[in-house]
Amino acid sequence: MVPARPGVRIGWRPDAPTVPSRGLPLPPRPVLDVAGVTLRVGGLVCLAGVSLRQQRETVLAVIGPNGAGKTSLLDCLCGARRPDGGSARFWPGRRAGGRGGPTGGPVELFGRSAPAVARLGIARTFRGSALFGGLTVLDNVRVGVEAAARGHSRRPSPAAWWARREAGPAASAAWDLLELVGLADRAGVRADRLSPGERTRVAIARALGTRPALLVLDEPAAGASGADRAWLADFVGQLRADGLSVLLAEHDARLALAVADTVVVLAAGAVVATGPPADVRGVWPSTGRERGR
Amino acid sequence: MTRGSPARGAANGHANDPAHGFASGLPTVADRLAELRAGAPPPVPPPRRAAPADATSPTAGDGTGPGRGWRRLGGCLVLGLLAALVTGPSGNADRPLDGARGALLGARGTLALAVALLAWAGLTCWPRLRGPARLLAARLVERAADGPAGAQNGWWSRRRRPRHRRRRPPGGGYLLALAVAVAAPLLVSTTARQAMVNDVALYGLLAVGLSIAAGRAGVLDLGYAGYCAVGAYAAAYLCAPGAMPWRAPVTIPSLLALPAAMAVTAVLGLVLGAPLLRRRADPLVVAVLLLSFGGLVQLLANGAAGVTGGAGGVFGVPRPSVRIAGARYAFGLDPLPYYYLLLGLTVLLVAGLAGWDRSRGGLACAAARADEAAAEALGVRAARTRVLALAAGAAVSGLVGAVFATKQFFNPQTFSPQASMLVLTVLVAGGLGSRLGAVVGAAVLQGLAFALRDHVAAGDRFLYFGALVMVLMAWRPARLLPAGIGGPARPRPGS
Repeated sequence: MVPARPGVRIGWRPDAPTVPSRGLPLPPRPVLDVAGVTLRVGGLVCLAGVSLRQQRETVLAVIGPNGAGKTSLLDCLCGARRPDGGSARFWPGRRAGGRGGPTGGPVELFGRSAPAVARLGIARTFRGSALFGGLTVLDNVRVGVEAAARGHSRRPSPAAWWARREAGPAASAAWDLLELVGLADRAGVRADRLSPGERTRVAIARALGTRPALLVLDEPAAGASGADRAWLADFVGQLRADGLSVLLAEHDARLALAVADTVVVLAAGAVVATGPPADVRGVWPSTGRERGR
Repeated sequence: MTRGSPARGAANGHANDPAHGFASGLPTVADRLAELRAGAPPPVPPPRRAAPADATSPTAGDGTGPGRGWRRLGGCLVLGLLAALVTGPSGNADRPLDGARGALLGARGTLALAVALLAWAGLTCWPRLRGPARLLAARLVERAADGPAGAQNGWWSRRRRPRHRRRRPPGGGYLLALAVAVAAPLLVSTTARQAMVNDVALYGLLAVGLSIAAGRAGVLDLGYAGYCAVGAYAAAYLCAPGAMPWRAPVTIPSLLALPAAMAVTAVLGLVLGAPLLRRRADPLVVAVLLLSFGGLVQLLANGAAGVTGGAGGVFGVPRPSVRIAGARYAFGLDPLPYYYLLLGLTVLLVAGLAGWDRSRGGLACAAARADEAAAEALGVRAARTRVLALAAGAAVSGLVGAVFATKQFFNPQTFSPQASMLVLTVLVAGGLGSRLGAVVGAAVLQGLAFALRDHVAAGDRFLYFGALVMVLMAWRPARLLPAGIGGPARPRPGS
């Protein structure tokens, strides 16, 4: 028997109010199904048969110590690296504008280039944010919006060709995203003048600009202050409530355990444990080093 | 708890079920939340060493140490010595040191020594003078902006006034540059006019074209004059039946040869850029490939006398003629029409680039150049963008080559790899990302060459170009005209 859908959390607090379920529960459907990914670099085995499965509109956190293979896994999924074996199926979904599989079925991610994966509806952020330093914050976000809005938003007239880049539909979408992450007042600043926390926000806004079905965050809390972490956890909760699936690779286990629906613990390239956060808590080694973070 | 197996059907909202409890040794989420909300105490910065206390330390990097001053003096003297040697007379094979003696003894050596000492004194005193000089400049600007109304504020009043930035009309700099460019050839001698066509206008257009590939897409195109040669020979092949030993089956008018040459070189650029499409293509390898292409084209043009006419060059390409509404105008020996033709092409190209820079493709190009991995993760096809930019730059170079072919006689020496380097120097001096900068760089560098033409051998001019570019790099890292990054943030349209 399928239990009733508990509804959508607002925010990440355990006692946060929940929105009542939208009628019938959505049929459970995965958004990502990864099976047996192996990656070898030289003689080093980075990933030894990693398998995981993420349900639609959930937050999946991949946690693990340094060198566990979190970023390598994301690189393989997003097309930046070719894995040596395994498969990764992705359900593009209607949110991405019907791209991808012709029948709405899953598509194989491995073997596609990074832009092709991005155009399927997977947006990714990088550790350290990797913003386009010479561009303004607004233009950073506009890159994502423009890359996704291809084909159907031609410039309507020759006059619009000469319009300022701060106007136009793509720029207005970028403004919306900047307001969403609370950085609209920094839109004209060069991206390399931002603080680490602001960079993370811009990177997330930039990724959201491509209207993804799955948002992949690579250690967004690295180098962030306490307030930035709290904002990040709240924001991931909001995204989940809006129906976005989030795959989060995180070093900070507490943040990951707080926001995730499912946690995958990775160590030395293998999955050590999988389950809801409360179950994984007992597995995660509680060392003094972690406590300081 | 499942170990090592995929999580099947993860329950939504599992974490907010208080029944699960947090039995492990970790603090609960609520604790962590409270900790976060309270705001962790900021990390204590490491205490900074009191730097000004030990001014005698040789490692003091603030310019106050004596070691730095002596080093600077030595550097100035060495540079002065070099300048005297370079500008002095040259020795001969029998007595190679004669030139050095002539250069260093006498008035030239004294002058170089004096300039070096003056430069050292200026550099040493500059930190003390910088503050007052900036203040004075700021006051002057403020006073000039205020006009008579602001006079009663007092010259040195410390009161800071809100700065009103006057809205300049868009493209004011462009209009000024265009006016100067239109008026300049009417005011100078015929020799200078010829130089303005052959050196400034042609190299300006080439530099703007190279800025597409090198400045925007980041492909270091070291064989840029090679496309120019291909365009020139293509134009000669297509519109002059007797100019080359290899005859074309059809003959087309000279003006039609311009787009034909562009098409040929664009396809060539696509072919040469194809290695960039490979996964993990190394841009440096492609730069070397393009460099060898530039040399190869010159070698072929020189050697294949049965096809290109060899080192003697190509004569007799018909000059373009225009027939508009019955009136016929033919380009002649006068350089002025060519100048305005090239100026018109440059204006068209700069205007097109201005539109392209703010378009989707331009933004994608800028993003791919800034961080390729991040751009690809957003769906930007970086490799394709690069190859297209390379082809666009090649097309511009082919256009310049075709114009050059219809203008006069040309030979393979015109398109030497040194010409490619000169175009790159012009572009770097003017500013890699700036549209107008390439043109201004061509005007400045070739103006320098024109000014030096009677005093310096042609081969030595590159020394002065290099010195100018190095001075620019030291004092003005953004070069003559910095690349705009989009200006200040605008208020949101509609709010």
